[in-house]
Parts: sequence; structure tokens; C-alpha cells
Amino acid sequence: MNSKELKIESLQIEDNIQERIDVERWKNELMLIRICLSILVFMIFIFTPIYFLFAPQASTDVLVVGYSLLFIVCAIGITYYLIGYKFLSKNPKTLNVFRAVDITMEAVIISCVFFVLYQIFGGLKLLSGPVFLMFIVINLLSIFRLSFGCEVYSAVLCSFFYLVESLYIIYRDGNDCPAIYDYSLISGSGIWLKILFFIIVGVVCGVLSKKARKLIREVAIKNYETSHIKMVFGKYVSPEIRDYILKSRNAEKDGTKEDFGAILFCDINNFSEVLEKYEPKAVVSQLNVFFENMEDIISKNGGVINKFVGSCIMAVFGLGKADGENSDICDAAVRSAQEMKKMTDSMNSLWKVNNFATFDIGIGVSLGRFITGNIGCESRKEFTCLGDVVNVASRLQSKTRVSESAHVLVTAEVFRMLQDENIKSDFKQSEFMSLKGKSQQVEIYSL
Amino acid sequence: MENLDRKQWFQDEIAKITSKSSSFINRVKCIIILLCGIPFLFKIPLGTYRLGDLIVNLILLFLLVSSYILASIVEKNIKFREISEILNMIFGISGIVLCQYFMYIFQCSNPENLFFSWVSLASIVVLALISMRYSTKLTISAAVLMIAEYAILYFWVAIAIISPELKEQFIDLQTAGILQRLLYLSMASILIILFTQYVYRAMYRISDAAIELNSMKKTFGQYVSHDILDYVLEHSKKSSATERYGVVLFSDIRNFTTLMENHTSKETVAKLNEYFAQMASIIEKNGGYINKFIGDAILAVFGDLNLNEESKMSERQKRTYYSQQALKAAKEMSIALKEINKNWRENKEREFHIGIGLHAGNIIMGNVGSENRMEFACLGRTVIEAMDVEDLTKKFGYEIMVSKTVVGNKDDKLVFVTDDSKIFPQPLYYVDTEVK
Repeated sequence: MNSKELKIESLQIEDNIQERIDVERWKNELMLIRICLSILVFMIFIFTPIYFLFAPQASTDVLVVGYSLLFIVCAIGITYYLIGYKFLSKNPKTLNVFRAVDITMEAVIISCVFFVLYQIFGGLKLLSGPVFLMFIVINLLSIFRLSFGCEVYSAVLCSFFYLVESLYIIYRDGNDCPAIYDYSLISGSGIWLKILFFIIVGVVCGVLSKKARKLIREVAIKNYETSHIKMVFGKYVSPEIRDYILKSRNAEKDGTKEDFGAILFCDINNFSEVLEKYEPKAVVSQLNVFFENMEDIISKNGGVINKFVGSCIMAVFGLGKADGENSDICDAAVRSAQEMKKMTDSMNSLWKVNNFATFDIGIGVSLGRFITGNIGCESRKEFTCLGDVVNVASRLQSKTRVSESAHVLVTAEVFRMLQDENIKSDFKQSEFMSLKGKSQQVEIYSL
Repeated sequence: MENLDRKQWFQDEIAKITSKSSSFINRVKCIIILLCGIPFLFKIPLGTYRLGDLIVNLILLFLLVSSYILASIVEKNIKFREISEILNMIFGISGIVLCQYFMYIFQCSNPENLFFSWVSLASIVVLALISMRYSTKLTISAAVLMIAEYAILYFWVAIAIISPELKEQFIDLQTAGILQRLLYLSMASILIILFTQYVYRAMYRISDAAIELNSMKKTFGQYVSHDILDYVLEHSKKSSATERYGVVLFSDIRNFTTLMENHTSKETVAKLNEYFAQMASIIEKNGGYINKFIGDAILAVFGDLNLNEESKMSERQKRTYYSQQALKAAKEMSIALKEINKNWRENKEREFHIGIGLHAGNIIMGNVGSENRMEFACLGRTVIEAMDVEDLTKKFGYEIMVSKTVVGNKDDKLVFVTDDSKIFPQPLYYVDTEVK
């Protein structure tokens, strides 16, 4: 079971990495289209003046036809690439099909150009001249496709077209011009060796692009791991705090800051009795459900969970907010406290029916200034809020253990800052209590 | 500092990859050289093997031997890598052009063949192989060298040495041809250079990603402890918990808030960090795992943290082993604090006084929390009771107090305190930390 799960997980990771490589390939394909486009445009620029220089003097119609054909081929190629570029940039998923079509198209266009040039320059010049190098240039484009197969396919296609066209030219012009035989079939520099080298270039470049693919894959794996850790990191210290930590990680300072906000402590008062009576595993899974619901409520109201300490949740409202924006933090904190209590009651009624443990929660809220920062040492750190206000909230929370009726206790500062009259009216008359570690009695409101 | 590390890392990585691919490069090169050389040997039985052919074959042989010698030199001393790369590049590129030159000079082939031949393809293969060294500078210089040599060769042969009979036919064929040939060669070179640049950037991205990954791991490890990092990353999707035996160490600074009332936040954190750094190193040195800093308190666990499999120690062994670790750590913490306090006293700063509680039992350890927010938690009665023990140190006025569960049967230097079940369900002991 476990290994199966692992397998599924690793498959998902593999998918994820493959996706990243595909994105890379997609970007490269778009770049290749741009290169091809510029080659075609370049060709038009080169051949237009040549045409106007030579064509009017040319006595033969062949030349005019040849040039017109060249322009037509270029125009078709440009249209194809323009449409293809638009299409591919919108549909990255069609990459695999598009790639095969693209390679074929490149070879076809270049062999069309080859054929047109044959019409213009004649067989001898074409077979003995450097035009065959065009095929190599086109073949080299495929390195960027990061796949051995693509490169070799391109090489095979190029050599096939070159072979067919050369044999055709020899067949057509061989009788008129015997030198063609010499140049292309008999002598050491014949088409056979050229084709052999096409394939060699294809294989070598195929290996090159495969190696490049490996490198890109390594990047993808590392990036995936980083983002995975980042995600998990966010789970363990809440995304807001994670970003704060990551921002200040290279700084020399601890990144301590004074902040103003409301601290909410929520704990399960009967947790140790629950642990005594019930199976720990069941309690932990109950705890997870409990935390999940509490987290929902707190984050919905704009709070950040600073930490879980055993069964206790410590949440902060107004973290990192400017003084002007935090007038409603007490409303948010008290509202969450109310909702948390309500949610726990409804969960309890469900658990009671199913013979699970019920949680008896108590919540304390206080308001004031505190220090936030990364505390600890080189090997172990923790993001904490420190200050008297934190202690007060914690003490208030423990007060709820003693009193039967009050589940939510807030300090007078919190009560005074409340803006919502509906919430305000829910509170009972204040009373003065002594808190542990405090010399003076504190005014406390309870819900 | 970081930049320097990165540069070093990058150099090492490149060297690693190149050394791996260099054997491949050599092999392919040898095949090409042999391929180029063998056709000439066929001329021997035909009786047309001339001086030019011999020279060409010698050049090819030189290329073969030189690349082997250079490879073996680099294998022995990595320092010569750069020089050997440059030499290899110059030999490879120039060798092929020289072959063509000698073939022409000694008239073992027609000038037509020189121009029309496939040999320039061999140059492109060599260039592609050079690009495998992943150095843009090297590839660019190779490409420039290749094109320059070809340009010189072509123009020189076309203009100066061509025999008068052939000249007419040649000019016609080649004036555009030479330029075109150079154009195609440079296009191919540009593509290969672009590719090298692309690969080079990919390598840079790897180094970036690796540095980012390391830093992320390090930072994350600081927040969930490096001991459980792998466990946390593996079990990130779901919550899971196991029960393990362990000793809980809970320590707290007495009256921390009142102590720090007149300090700024920076001073407080700096002081706290100094204290935590000492304590954490002691706990970790003794095999403990710091689960949490709670304000000024430390919650640490001495126990079997390999949550994926049970340890082979017997119950009894575990008890004594972990208890000893925890006791030792607690004592060392108290001694270290005295040192810190001595320093602070000299600087007229406030001193810290701590209480440490030790309690052993089964602890529930694992991922607790919601989908969005998790925590690696240590839960259970044992943890709560350890906090209670710590709380009692204030009441009784001792620095370190331990429960019966930690003491076990043999209690060497532990002093009995109380056996009142109203105060704590177990007998309590204190550890004498006074320096005698």
C-alpha cells in the first residue's frame, strides 16, 4: 500500500518535471519559428535585388519562373510560420504534434528552395556548389528541440530530400552535362559522403541536445524540490510568515520588529483527561479535524496562526499591518473566538453521538504591543511573538479552565476597541480578576 | 561570499560534466579522423598515393595522437584543462583546413573537389563537438577561426593559385559560391554558438536552483529542526502520528517578562538568542531534538526520532539511555547558564534564572494540523506533565527537577523531594547543581 502510494507520488513528480521540460521545449520551438521566419525574410531581401539585377536581362523564361517560385515558396513559408506561431503560442499542448509537422515543414521548405535554385542556377552549380550546406543549417536548428529523436528525424529527412533531389537533377541534366556525374557520383566529394556526414552531424547534435535536455531536467527537478519545500514550509509556519522569513534570511539581523495586534489563545481544557481515556491515534485525528476548522475560521477573519503548542493554538491578528488599518482587528479576533466556540459545539455534538471524545475549549484574547522575530540559534529557529500581551492572553486562557460558564475571556482594551455593537452587547459585565504573574488585578470581560 | 561559492560551484560542476563528456568527444573525433583518413589509403593499391596524401594522413595521425596525449595530460592534472581545450580546438579546426590545403597543393585532388567537397561538414562536426565543452568563449573563437581559415583558403586558392585553364570556369562558379559557402558556415556556427550559450545558461540555472534549494532546505530545517526535515518533507501531504517513548525536557526562564520590561525589543531578542544558542547546542550535542521555542521556553525531546521504523533497543535500554542523555543535557545547561550569567554580571546586565523539568513517558509525535497549516508536534500527557514539573521547580526553589520516570531504579546523585500525589502523581527528585 505504502509503496504504491509512493509510486503514484513519484509519477506525479515525474509529470510535473516533464511539464517543465515541455514548457522549455515550447519556448525553444517558438524561438525556432522566429529564426526560420527571419531566414525566410532574409532570403527575400537577398534575392529581390538579385532578381531585379539579373532577371530583366535574362533571355530565358526559366529564370523568371524560378525567381517567382522562390518568392512563392518564401511567402508560403512565412505564412505557415506566422500562423503556426500564433497557434502554438496559444496552444502549448499541441507541441508534440506541432514539432513533428515543423521539422517536416522545415525540410520541405528547404528542399523546395533547393529545387527552385536548381531552376535558376542549373544542375552543375547546385550540385557542386555550397547549397547543400543549407540542409545542415536546417538540421542544426533541431538541437534546440532537446530531443535525440527530433534531431535524427530531421537529419534523415534532410538527407532523404537531398538524395532524391540530387538523383533527380543527375537524371535530368546528366546527359547534357557529364561533369555532374564527376562531381556528384564518382569523385570523392560525392553525395554519398555528404549524406553520410548529414547523418553524423545529426547523431552528434542529437547527443548534444539530449545532454542539454538532461541539464534542463536537472533544473526542473531542483526547482520542483525547492517549490515543494517552500510549500511545506508554508504549511509549517504559515505562508505569510514564511515569506517574511525568506525575505530576511540573508540579512544579518534577526528581523525583529515591534508590532501591535490582538493575540488569541485557544486551548482544549480537558485535553489531558481526553488523552487518558481515549486511544491517542483517534485523538490525534480528532485534533486534526479540530485544527482544520479552527484554522479556517482564523484565516477567514484575517488572523495568522503563529503556532500550535500541543493542543493549544496561538493566533495573531493584525500582524504587519499599519496603524491605520488595524481598527477592526479586535472585532475579527472576537468574532473568530465566537465562531470557534460555536464550531466546537457543533463538532462535539457530532462526536458525542459517535462515542468520540468531546473537547472543552477556552479562549483568551488580549491586545497590545509585542515583538515579532526569529528567535533561536543557527541550527534551530522559530518565529515567535514575545511580550506581555502574549502572556496575558495565555493566562486568560487558563482562567477559562477554572470558571465553568465563561469560555471566552477578553481584556478591557480589547472590549473598548470593539466597533461592532452586536458583538459588544454579547459580553457580560466586566469583573476584576487577578492573573498569575501580575501584581495588579485586571479588568476582564467574558462572553 | 555567496557569489564566490557560486562561482566555485559552477566551475566544479562544469569540470565534472566536461570530464564526463570528453571521452565521448574524443571517441567521436577519432571516428571522424579515421573516416577522413581511410579513403586516402585506398589509393595505395591503385598506385596513386602521393606525397600530399601522405601529408594528409600524417596530419590526421597527429590529430589522433595529440587529442589522446592532451586527454591523458588533463586526466593527470586538471589545471591544464583550459590549455588543452584551446590546443585541441586549434588543432581540430586547423587540421581539417590544412588537409584541404595540402590536398590541393600537392594536386592529389582537383581544385573543384576542394571547393565542392563535403570536408566543410567535418569542420561543422568538430565545431559541434567543441560546443560540448560548454564554454561560449571557446566555441566563438573556434567558429571565428574556422570561418577565417576557410575564407583565406578559398580566396587564396580561387584568386592566386588556380591554373589559367580552369580560371574562367572557376570564377564563374565560385565568386558567389565562396561567399555563399562562408555564409552557410557562419549560419551553422551561429546556431551552434547559440546552442552553447543556451546550455551555458541552463548550467547557470542549475547552479541558481541548487543554491536556492540548499538555502531553502537550510532555512526550513532551522524552523522544523534538521532531524525531522526528511520526515516532514515525505509526509507533507497528510497528517500522521506515532507514539514513541522519550524524555521531555522543558525549560523556562523565570519572570522573563518582568525581567525584560525595560529592554527594547532588539535587546530582548539578542539576549534571548544568545541564551538559546548555548542551550540548543547543548541539547543537540547530547542527542536531543528541540521541538519548539515557546516564547522564552524550550521544549526538547530525547528519544527515538526515526519515525519510519522502530529502533532495536529494548524498553529498558531506551529508558536508561535517553534518561542519561537528558540528565546530562540538563546539568550542562545549568553550568552553561552560570557562565553566561557571569558575563552578563560583568556587563551589568540582568541575569537569567531558569527552571528545568524532566519527565519521561510515551509521546505522540507527528504532523498535526490542518491542510494549510501543519506542525510537527509532540503531544500527550508526558509533555503536559513535564511542563508541570518545570512549574514545580519554582515552588520548591530548585533549578532542575525530575520525576520518578526518569530516575528509574538507580538514583545516584538525585535527591528526593516529595511524594505528595496531590502535587504530582509521581515522586519528584531534584538534581544538585551547586558547584562544590
